[in-house]
Amino acid sequence: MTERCRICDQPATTTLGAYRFCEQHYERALRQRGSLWRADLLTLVALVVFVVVVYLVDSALDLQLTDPQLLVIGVVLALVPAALWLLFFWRRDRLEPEPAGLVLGVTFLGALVAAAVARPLVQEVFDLARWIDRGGLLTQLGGQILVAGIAQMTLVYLVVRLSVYRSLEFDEWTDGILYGTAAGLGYATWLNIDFIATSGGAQLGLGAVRVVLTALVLASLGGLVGYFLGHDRLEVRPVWYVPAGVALAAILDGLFWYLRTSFSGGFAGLTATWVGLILAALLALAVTWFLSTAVSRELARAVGPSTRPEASGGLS
Amino acid sequence: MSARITEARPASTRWSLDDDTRQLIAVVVMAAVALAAGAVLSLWATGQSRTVEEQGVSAVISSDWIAQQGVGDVILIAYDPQDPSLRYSVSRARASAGAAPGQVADMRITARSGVLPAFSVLDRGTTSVGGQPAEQVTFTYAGERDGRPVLSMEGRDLVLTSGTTPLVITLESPSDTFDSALPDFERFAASVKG
Repeated sequence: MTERCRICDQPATTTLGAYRFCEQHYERALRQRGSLWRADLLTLVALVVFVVVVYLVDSALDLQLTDPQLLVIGVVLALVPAALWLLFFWRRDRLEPEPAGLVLGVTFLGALVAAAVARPLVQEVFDLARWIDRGGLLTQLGGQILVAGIAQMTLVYLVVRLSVYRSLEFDEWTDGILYGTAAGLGYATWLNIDFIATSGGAQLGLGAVRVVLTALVLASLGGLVGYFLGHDRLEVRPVWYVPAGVALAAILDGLFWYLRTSFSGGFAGLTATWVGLILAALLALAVTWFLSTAVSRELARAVGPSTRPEASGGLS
Repeated sequence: MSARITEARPASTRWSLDDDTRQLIAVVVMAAVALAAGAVLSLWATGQSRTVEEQGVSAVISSDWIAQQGVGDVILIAYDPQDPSLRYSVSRARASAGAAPGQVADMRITARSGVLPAFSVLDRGTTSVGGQPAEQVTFTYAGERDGRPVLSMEGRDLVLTSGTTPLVITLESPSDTFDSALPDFERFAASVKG
């Protein structure tokens, strides 16, 4: 076993699982970042409030906007979810903040791969829209999971894995979730801007719902991919572990969009717009709850078998 | 027996990849397999087709397209329910029985220029449809909604000799998707029998 810290390559003093850590990174690895969960939940609540307010304003004022005005407003709407999450996160993370440049950079990279890789792959190479409805349930679910879901979640994984994963800042259990969420939000921001640009603008109310829905789904599933990545960074995991995490996120992604399409006629008196938003909020809540409890459980488990010099009488 | 000199070699020459690299490779392999399965699914889905028949004329269309009987000379109309502005039609030029395909094409150009706003011919020539010579006319016009031109449309007529009455196979599509609609239309045209 190497005697160097897994994170900083300095002499190691402590063992966590199969990896060795210096004292500083051992403590950081076991830190529970409560600010992340609070930022996630605050963002979720703020986005739902944002949608309702925009919808009410749009209905009350009945604004007659020109196409260029709708385009500008739509692009501003598309930036709101990422801006809110970053704002809440930094306000809550002042004690030991992540470098702003890294978080913003990963968000930007998420948007960049969505524009440069995902859109051409899904829309032009696979031409998903052309065949997804041609074979009933099989092609609808298969297309959403095997093409759209896998492309989205693999790219979110690659953004984090090939950028910040090896850096000194990626040293906490929750860092994977943080950077995965950032990449997912960047990805969603580009999808929303692209949707608004190709639609020639967005009606305020419907545009806000669409923007928030996409952001909630991709940010929470990006966080899920990041959870598996973060776990793999600090513990030796079986070779199928991270692929299984990416596949799980892709399946949830595909299922969400399949359900969203299935309820296009509405449900229980609600229009499809609101059904989609409720589904997205439920998914985001469920993923956030799962991640927070899973991280707490893993941290508690990791502390148990750890080997510290004072406890073991030397390096193991 | 002669002595054999052998070089000392390592017991094994296994590759050694760290855990991070193995996970990265595994994710890339998993994604490649899933996307390959997606490609197979897309091939299967786009190959789904059905044969429709009206007034003795049959054609093969995508399984999710809608086909309906036409009015007058129009025998059959097929369209994509997700984008009804993309449509195929098959017509019999009954009033032009015995006329050459070129004459039928001239008559259709004249008729269209009188009813379609901003109609103009983009290209004209001869081609082959299912091994049969055909007159080909590509045109453009402004699609209307509530009497106002709102959409730039393009179309293509293929006029074939079929018995004594020429058969006209037509594609109409928004201009921005016209080129991408051509390969499917050519397959449709080749499948027309009657």
